[in-house]
Amino acid sequence: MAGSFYYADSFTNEEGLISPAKDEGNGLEEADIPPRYKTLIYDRERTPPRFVIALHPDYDHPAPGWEKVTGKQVQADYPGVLGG
Amino acid sequence: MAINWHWAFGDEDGTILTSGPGFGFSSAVGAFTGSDNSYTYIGSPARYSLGLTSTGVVTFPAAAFPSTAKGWVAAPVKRISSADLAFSSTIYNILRINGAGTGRTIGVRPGGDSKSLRFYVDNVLKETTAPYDWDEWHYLSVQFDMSTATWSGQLFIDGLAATAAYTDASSAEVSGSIQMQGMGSPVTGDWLIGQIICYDDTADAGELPRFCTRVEANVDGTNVGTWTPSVGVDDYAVLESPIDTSTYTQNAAPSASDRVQTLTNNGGANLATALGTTPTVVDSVLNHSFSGGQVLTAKALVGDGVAETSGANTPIGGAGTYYAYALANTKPSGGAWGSTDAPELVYEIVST
Repeated sequence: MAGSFYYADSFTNEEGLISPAKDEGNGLEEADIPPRYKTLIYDRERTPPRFVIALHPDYDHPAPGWEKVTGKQVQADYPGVLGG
Repeated sequence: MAINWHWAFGDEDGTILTSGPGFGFSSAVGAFTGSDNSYTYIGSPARYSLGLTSTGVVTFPAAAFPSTAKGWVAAPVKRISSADLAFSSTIYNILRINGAGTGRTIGVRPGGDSKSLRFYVDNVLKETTAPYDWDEWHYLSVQFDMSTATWSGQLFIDGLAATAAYTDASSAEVSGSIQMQGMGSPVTGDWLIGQIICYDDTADAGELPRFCTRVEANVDGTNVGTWTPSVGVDDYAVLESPIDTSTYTQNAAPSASDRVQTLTNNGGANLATALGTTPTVVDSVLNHSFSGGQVLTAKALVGDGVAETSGANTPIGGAGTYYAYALANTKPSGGAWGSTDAPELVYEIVST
């Protein structure tokens, strides 16, 4: 899959909707999400839960606090999530 | 399986929609019309959309949520171009399909300044779309399935897949609700909903844009019992659109099987003349009825001149206004509706 991969903490808003968080040093807040974003997996089992994210090359604009990872690392942590 | 409910907005505000068909609103809303503000086609009769601010939430009548807990919700949306609308990534939801048991949602939210949309399944963000120009009408369709412990959903825009199909482990639902909301600034943002069509099966082609148009009766049919219009002598004239609870036809001493029938075929009129165009396909005809004043059971029916399709028997209370509807996705006598058909609209007392 083309594009970049990221790990991000999750943020639950007041209506219970769960999205990736951003961390600008003031605690976790809901992140601005670029177009053509994809959640590869939402790891609820992990503490704290974590989003595994793929960003499209045209909109590779990660939010503060997102950890950039390689496809190889994603594949190692979450076998099969990238297919192939 | 097919369409389970649909609604074309008229010149009605939130107050009348709440007291009539049972919409729910969190704040005042109004009707909009005009070529820029209605989701329309050449030849259409006057059409309206519903205008919401981003602090306004509309909850559609219970009939909108399919009994199968799966299917489609489709609605064209547009922002008013004159509004100073800042897209927001806060709580505003464009469309929410809510499971009653879990309280969780398959839904669509604004994507922030990017003008994309966020798509959620089981409350979890799955994907954001490409950017869209929201000053134009776009036909949103959400395919959803909450009927099993594995929820699924996919967002379509203008007939095309805007996200992939997603699943999420949840709990099976048997009931729920459908809500829409404005988008953007809570002060100035105005968001239009052109209509809504709900389907009860994911196999339906709910992604295909369709128009939902109000067709009014134009002549009285054959009644049973004594029905007296509140004004004038014609039932059809007081059973009109927009909804107006101050005009009605009344049966002061109702008996079982009493009925009032209005027709749409005066002067040779038919669906083509009523719609202002010759439709290539008519997916559904739905008769909305609103009544009150007597404690009884009643139902709405749709006829085609040969046979009738009944809606559910509906308890009617003495105070307030009660909604009953009849849905006919095919002609009651069989086959698909065609442009030369002229639906008959009936309201019938079942028991007193």
